[in-house]
Amino acid sequence: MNIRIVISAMMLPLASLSVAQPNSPLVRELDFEEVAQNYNTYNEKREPMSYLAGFSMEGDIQLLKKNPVQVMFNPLAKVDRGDCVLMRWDPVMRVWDKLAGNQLKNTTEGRNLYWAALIDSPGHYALMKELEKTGTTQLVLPSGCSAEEWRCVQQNMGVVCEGFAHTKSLSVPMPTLSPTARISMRYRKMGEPVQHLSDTVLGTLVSDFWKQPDAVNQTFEMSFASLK
Amino acid sequence: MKICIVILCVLTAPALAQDSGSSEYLSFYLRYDDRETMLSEYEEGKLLDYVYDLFLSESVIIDIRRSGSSFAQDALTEQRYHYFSELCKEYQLSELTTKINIVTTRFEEDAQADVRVLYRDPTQAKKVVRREGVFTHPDGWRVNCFLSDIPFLQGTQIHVMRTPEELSKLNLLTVDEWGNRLEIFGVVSVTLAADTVLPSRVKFQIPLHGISEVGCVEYTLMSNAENTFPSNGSKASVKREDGLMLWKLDTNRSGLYVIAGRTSDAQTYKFNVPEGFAILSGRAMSMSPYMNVEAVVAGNQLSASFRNMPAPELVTCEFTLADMQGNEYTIAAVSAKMLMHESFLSFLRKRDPVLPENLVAQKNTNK
Repeated sequence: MNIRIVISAMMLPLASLSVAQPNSPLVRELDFEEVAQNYNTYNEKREPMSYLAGFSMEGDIQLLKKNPVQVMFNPLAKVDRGDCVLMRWDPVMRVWDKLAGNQLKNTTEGRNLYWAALIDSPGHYALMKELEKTGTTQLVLPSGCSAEEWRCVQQNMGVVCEGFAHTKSLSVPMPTLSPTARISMRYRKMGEPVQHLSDTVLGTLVSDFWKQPDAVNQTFEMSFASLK
Repeated sequence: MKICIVILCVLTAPALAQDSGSSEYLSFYLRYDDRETMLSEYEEGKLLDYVYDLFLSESVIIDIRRSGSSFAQDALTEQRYHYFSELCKEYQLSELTTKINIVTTRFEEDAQADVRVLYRDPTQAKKVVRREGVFTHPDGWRVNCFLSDIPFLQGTQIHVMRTPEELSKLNLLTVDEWGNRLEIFGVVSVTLAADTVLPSRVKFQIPLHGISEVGCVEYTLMSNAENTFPSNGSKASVKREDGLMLWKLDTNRSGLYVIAGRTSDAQTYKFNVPEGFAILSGRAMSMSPYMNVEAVVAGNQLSASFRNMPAPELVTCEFTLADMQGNEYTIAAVSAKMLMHESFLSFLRKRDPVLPENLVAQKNTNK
């Protein structure tokens, strides 16, 4: 018996199964904000992907193996089904692994068409798409500063990048950054305690914070003038 | 004389259909040891090899040979008959498809055999001749199907949506999956009668204006929470018959189907946002012809573009911008032509005069 669940990109009420069955799996939508806070959108090669939709599934793994759940996604405009990849979160490596052999298939419920996949184990799942362009943007910290942990979220692209290295420049693996891209980091100035910077935008209106981009090297230099 | 021949043919036709000697039947033979009522192990194994085929077959005939006329032979034959009756029950051979006969003549192919089992080859495809026909609905649409399917298709409802108002109500995006702008000729809603499941696809022929034999593409209509949009395009079959242009739609299920063509308009609009803003979304609309296109927003959110567009005076645009403090600004229902000659900023200033003076508007370009 397959259980059917519809995941809509805009559907905020969570899709869940009947509570009358104690062993039935529980499915809830994973929205982009949650991914931006807790996860990233890297694939196995740590290349950024574009997040389209996702869900979390909890349940007994043995029951799920016997009765896989059919999860249905609303089709996305201007996105070809063949370009979408269903991925599963690997909490150890902090990347999304491709589900081998699990292809999205067209299915219909009444007059509505959906993309469907069979899921037979609990975890976090996401529908992702490769980015069309690749490249790197450098965010250079002022001298004497180094970042210990950073995160860059660009919602319009559905991309979340992160890094944990002790570094003086953040290499964001994206060719361009939007002025609305949000940067968070833990950084340390020489001889000072660790400080937090959360959700600052790269916009040029924050003129004292980020300097103008270097158009040739895609490098942004950072200034802490506005933080005082 | 002629009448007699015709009657004879009619009478013999069903007889031939039941003729177990036709080539469609396969056969095997079994032998009993002398005066035994049970098959030997070897013969039983041989029978079991065929049991699955017998189960699948639509017609099985078991002929048991009665070799003498004594009472002893009668008892023996009865026990053998009983054995095969039980076998049929055990292996779930249906009474409707299985028949056990007692015969007195020897079998030609194996004169020593006591039992002949004939069965129709289950792997051979059924050859059924079904007549096809065309049903024409009073509303003008037709359907090519088997005559037997017509009663099910008579209750079908076909509604053609083609006015801008109807398409606008669907919130239909007029682009294909690759972002190419489409000219929509019609959206057709096919609703089969309740509980109708057609075993094979049937060909609906729907008369439409504006379609042509070349260049039309048919799509199924997909929907997400915000829009409906054409998807899974394939070449549409359009033919002129009886002075009507008919779209031949192959389907076996209810649904919404779109017929559209690639537009020949070639202009590209590109809008740059002023410094200090980012573009969140954009949309171009027109009611004549109906158009609803989302802008392609650049990854850095500093520009948005529309491809395959007509002259800008026919198009109105809608944009949502954001400044770096997170405030959102909407520019709604502005002529694309006007927006190209002025700027986002002048529109924003008209609505919100307190915008910072030091913002410099960039001139939008029309390539």
